[in-house]
Amino acid sequence: MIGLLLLVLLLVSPVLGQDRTRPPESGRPPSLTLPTVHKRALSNGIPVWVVERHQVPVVAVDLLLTSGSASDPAGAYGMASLTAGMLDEGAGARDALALADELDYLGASLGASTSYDATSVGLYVPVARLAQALPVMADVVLRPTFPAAELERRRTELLVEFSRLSDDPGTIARLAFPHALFGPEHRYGTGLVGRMAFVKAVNREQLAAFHASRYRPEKAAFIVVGDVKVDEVVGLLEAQFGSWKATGPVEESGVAAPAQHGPRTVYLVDKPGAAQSVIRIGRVGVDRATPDYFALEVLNTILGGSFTSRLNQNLREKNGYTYGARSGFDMRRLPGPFVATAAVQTDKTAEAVREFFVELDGMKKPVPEGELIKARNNVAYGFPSSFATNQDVAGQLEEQLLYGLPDDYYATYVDKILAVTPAEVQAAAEKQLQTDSVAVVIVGDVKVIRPKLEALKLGPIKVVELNELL
Amino acid sequence: MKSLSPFLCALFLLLLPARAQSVQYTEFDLPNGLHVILHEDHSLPIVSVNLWYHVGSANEKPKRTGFAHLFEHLMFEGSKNVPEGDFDNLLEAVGGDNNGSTTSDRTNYWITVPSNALEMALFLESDRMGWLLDTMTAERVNGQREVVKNELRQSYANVPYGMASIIVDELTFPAGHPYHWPTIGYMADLNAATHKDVADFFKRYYVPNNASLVIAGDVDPVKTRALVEKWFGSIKPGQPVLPVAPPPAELTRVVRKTIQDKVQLPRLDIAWITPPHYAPGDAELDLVAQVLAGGKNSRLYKRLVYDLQVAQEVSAYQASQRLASTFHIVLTPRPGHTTEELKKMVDEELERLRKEPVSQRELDRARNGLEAAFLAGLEQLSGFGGKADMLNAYYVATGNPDYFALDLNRYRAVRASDLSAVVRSFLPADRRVELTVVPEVKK
Repeated sequence: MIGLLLLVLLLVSPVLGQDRTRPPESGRPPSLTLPTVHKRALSNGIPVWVVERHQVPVVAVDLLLTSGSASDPAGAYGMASLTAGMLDEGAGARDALALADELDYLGASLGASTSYDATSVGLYVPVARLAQALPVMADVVLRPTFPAAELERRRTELLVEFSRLSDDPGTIARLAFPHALFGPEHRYGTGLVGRMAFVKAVNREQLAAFHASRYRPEKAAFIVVGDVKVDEVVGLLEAQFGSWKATGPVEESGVAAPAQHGPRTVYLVDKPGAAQSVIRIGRVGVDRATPDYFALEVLNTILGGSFTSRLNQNLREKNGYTYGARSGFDMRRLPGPFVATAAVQTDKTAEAVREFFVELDGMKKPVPEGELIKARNNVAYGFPSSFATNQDVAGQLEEQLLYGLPDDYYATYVDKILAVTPAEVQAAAEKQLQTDSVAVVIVGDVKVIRPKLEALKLGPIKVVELNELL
Repeated sequence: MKSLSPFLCALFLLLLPARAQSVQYTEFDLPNGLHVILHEDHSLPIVSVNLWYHVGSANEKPKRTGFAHLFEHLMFEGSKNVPEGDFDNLLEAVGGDNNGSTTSDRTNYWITVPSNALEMALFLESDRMGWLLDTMTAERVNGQREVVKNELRQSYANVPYGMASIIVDELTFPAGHPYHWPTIGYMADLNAATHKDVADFFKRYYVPNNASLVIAGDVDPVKTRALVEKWFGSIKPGQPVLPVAPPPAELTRVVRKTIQDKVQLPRLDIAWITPPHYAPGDAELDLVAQVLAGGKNSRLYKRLVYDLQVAQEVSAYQASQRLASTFHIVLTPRPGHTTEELKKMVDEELERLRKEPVSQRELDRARNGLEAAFLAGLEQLSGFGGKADMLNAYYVATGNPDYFALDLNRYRAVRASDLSAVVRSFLPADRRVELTVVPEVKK
């Protein structure tokens, strides 16, 4: 009888085959076959890195210049950003409207922008139209005309945007935080767009001179990712950029290594009636060449770099103060900011700030093994998604070029992440998360939030006026 | 939506390939009604598991708004065999990523995993389809309610002009129409939601016969089918779900309203009710939006922003949805200029469009831009608007997952005179909504 029952159960069991009592095994993660990077150069020495990807008939062509907003001259913070922004307002024989007409007709997007460390001009276009789009890109990069009338138009646009700064607490916080951390003198203390005084005063000759001195072949590199053949696309680039010669004198403003923030201070910017306080807490972090890079990737994943991170779980899931909390290290050629941030409901501002410190300080204790493994796996096994699109791949190569990462950087990335130890994370936390020297920047309804913030006794409280940020 | 980035009130991005991009797939139904679509793409060793429940805020009732979206949040909080928090813990531990979103018409969930972890994704997705209520406590509902309130603050209340998008819909669609209330819901309704309300919603809508599953990426279709049957096969079907079918909404006059906000510049939102997604007129209106405000040479940008410099910003878009779409023109005047001034110019440009066809160059420019944007979408396998999401979207809307080329044809078939025709038919001056946001008057 029992035998019969067992037999019946055995026959039925494939239907009941799913064992839900524990998650299924996942087996060995597949390894990512990294795309082949073909490294060539134009006749004037400009490196060209090409990755062929034939899934979709599109191509991304990025020009990278190893000079960005950090090279803005003193008193002219905003120069690099405005120069890049004005490239397509007139170039070669075309005015702004003709350039836009041609690019839009080709279905091409051509954008120029800066970071602190670099300038990039990126073309994204169906490959069938690449040959028509490249000459336009060349005009824009090599022969911008900076027409005075267009500069006036852009100037007014930017000044109106400055006047609207008080509208958006998020934007205010993004300016107020570096201002508090680096001060108004250091380039990192001001946003990429720069100061209002500069935008008011700049003339087209200054933009043209800046372009001549910074847009030079010795600072340039091309990264091409998409549905192209290597030799063909190098030939196209040679035709457009091969005879590029520098025209202006070499002039580079240096940025000194930033000083660390002083003793912990709270900076408040008033947004009366705000439904939330935007909180940014941090200090000067590390540069891209830091030997602690991999330990910090894992540390940040645990602290505020994933949905299950400590900051997000505490502030969102456990306490319901916010829609999301996160943290990050901005690693530049020189040390950029470390910031932990969230927008929290106004009436829980002080409570949320306290929890930020609980988590920041908590990272200095040894991380439990399971949590560490999860974070390492998250970064290591999620790695293939960084190579999903042409622009993803181009971005990875740009980082490699800009920061001189070794040739085997991506091939060894996964192993390096998986090798990070709890001791390394703890040591990095002790070095970087020194909460007695952070800037605590909060944009919110000062009248409502100040009393409970004072009761936290974090340090001196300074109220920052909006016009200090302009 | 549970991500760390702002709430997507997902309008369908217009997406179309430059040549007939065909996306190969196979499909089958489970006995419990779950429709399954498989697509192979071995370019990366990853898989996208993309599940659509055919329920959105349009299925809600007045006084019980915000349920579909609140429910979406609860789907991440654990199920019978997945302790609270472990949905994300387990996925992160295998290098996976995930998210979801709610619109008026549907709720989507996606998981991206390295291909060795496909079964983990299917285990998690099926467990929350079949066994969510087992562990959905009142405490969890309360917790996510607080998160949603903060989402409302972060995405609407604490954003300049944030409330305008909610109010425009209230003015455009009558009370009782499924598109009247915002997907995120009203705070009062969210506060009144009981555990039973939420459980009833789940039992009614979160059933396999009301869902479609796309699995795309580095997969073996035969093995994948077996895994889907293994993990989803024993989930019981629910009652059939009838699509919402309200009487069509229509504007019969100009509906005007002015609200205040903590902003420096006023802003005018003009809105019309237009044909639903994929219906005749929908693609044409996408192109009209580009002709009006896409790029420096567009009608409104060139005149208002570039030539006269009376506007700081101008935009236009067709927000396509299942029951009805809405077309918007949004204008921000420069200091010293007014929304009335800009509106007059917009009406002049619309009248020009009604009377004279656009040039072939204008039409081609508009169309080529949209085609290029779609190619960009095809590059992405997973995530919002990626290939897997589009296979599901096309299936739900048309019954054909590989609608990509047919979608393109909607745009390729458009002639210049068609644009004038849709402006005449669907963008009249005397039947529309005009919402003005003005700077708060200081007391």
